[in-house]
Amino acid sequence: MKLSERDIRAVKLGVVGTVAIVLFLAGSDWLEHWGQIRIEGSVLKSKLKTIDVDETKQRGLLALVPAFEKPAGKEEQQFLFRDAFNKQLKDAGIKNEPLQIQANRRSPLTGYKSLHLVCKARCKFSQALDLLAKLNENPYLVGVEEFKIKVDPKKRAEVDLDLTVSTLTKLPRRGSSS
Amino acid sequence: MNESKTKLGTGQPVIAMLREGAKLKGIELQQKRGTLEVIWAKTTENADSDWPSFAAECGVSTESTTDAPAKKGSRVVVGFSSAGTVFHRASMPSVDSKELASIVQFQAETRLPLPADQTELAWRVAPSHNGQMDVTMAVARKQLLRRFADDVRCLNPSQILLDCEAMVKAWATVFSEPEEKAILVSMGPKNTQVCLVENERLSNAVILDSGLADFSVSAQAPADTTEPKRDALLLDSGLDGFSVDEETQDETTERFAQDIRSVIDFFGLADDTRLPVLLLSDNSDVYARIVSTLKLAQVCAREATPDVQRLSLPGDAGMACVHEYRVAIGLGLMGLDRSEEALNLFKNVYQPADKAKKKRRFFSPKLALALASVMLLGLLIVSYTLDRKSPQAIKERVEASTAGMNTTLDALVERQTLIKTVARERPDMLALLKLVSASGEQGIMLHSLNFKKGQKVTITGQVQKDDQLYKFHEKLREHKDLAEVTIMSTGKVSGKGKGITFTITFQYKNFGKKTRTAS
Repeated sequence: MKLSERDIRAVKLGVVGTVAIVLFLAGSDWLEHWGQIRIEGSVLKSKLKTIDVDETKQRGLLALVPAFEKPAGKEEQQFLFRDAFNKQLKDAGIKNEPLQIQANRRSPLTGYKSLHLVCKARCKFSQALDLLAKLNENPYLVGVEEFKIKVDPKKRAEVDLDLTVSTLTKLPRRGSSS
Repeated sequence: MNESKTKLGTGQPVIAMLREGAKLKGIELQQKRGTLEVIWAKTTENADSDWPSFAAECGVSTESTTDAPAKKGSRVVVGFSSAGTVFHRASMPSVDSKELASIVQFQAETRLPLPADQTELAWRVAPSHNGQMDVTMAVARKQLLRRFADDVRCLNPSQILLDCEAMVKAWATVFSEPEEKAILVSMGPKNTQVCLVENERLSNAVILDSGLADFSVSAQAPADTTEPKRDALLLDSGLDGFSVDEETQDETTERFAQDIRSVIDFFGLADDTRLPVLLLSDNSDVYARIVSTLKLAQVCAREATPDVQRLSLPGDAGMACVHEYRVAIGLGLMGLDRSEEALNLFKNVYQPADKAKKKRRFFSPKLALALASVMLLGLLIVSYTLDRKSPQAIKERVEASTAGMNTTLDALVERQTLIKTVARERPDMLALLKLVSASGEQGIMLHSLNFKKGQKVTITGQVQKDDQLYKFHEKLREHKDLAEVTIMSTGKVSGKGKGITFTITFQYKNFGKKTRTAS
């Protein structure tokens, strides 16, 4: 049987169409798979970018945060933070009123809560400075939330100090017993 | 046009064409199972015959130079008359090819009557002996070569070769008695080609302006040149229509013998009395007479006749036919044997269209599209492979660098994020106190400092004079970590003391602004 030119053209078109459909089907799956790989890759790269910090910036970070411990659960972190802060107050020679605890406050990080310790004390100005100088060494400290210092007009070496410091407490994971 | 054509068969033949005097000659030659076969031979005699019309007669397409040159599978080789070519042979020291090229160029320029930019030079080196190399140079006027190339371009020849080289090739292949070193004499109707041949290659050549026609005293033109010949394969020794006068023949042959001796002198071989001088002959009487005369002139001459057994000829064609088409056969043989290192004067003047087409193929849109597609495919494959491999490579690298630290990439990321957050959330109170203290001059007493995240810092104090307060205010404003420094209130000190109390507020870094917090 001899095929006419029209038949040959139709066969060619059919073959091209079939190949195109197969390529499209296989290509769609392949592209989807590739897309997932790319997302995975970009997530990993962003993580790598987070930990791969420039040396100068890392030094700056270490100057501000020379000691840091990962936050624990509320009870444990509260105990550790209060203990470390009390020790710092004691080292500075500050006799303070009992620390007030303000737990479950909003934190800047998802998955964590903020816990505040409020310290009120009357001390010498130099003692207050000592405390502030050593405060960064507390590995549980996140920041100073409030700081009030008022000089006694009669005894100018003494000050009334109101200091609120904060730490992070890890929220229990959903579904876990703690 | 006086012509005849004999078809014998097909294959992958070569069509060789050349002009000899006023005639155009063509032959189709092919090699079949080790046998050289002449398919057809054709000649014209009209002086006004041109290449395109002759090509058409031979079945060579002249429509487009970019298409197939001839009949399917045929290649065309064209012969260039060496009448306008000067040959020179020189002995040179054995040096490397680059140095040799410059020496040859210099030699050629010193011996040429024309500037180098008006000529084309082709040269060939013979194997060296005793530290010397013999170089054969051929030089022709560029304008002449261009004109010829333009004339034959319509045939799209794959090669344009010197006819004397073709003659040497024909002698070495078809004529009997090969010699290591010999002088070949090939006589045409009006001129004679004398070639020095060494190891079956042309070494030097000279054209004498006397030919077979000079051996007749009562030269008469043929009665009717337009009348077709009986069979072009059987005749045309160059003497058709001429009668020979024996009285003047001796004088002519003697002069011819003298010319040959002069040429031998010119080739520098006068001392070589045993050097064979081979007159290409069709075994006719005229050649025998010429050889006799040459022998009398102390030239070691003899006839060289074609060995018809070496060729498969059409019909009743014989020795005369092979002799008549010897140069065309030589051209065909050179066309078949492309490994032959020919003196190519047309190297810079003419490029076969198929070569040009090959070059153009590199610029074709189809090729560019194909290349682009391949590159795109390559890019896709490389990108995919990189995307697939790089996450694994990153993980492996991190694991390798944190080996023994009992941590994971996620833990490292979490820790780094926490540290960054803490650094962002931690105001340096000591630095703030130092900053405020350093900004005030003597006489300023600070009463209190009040800092709270999300609020402006407030300081209260006392100065002796207004100037002190303004200077203090100005210094605070100049500091880069402080912004919106405002004197909120001033007042006179109550009681006996002198002075002014003040309250100043300002933003310390970004801590005074409300920040978004996670729930």
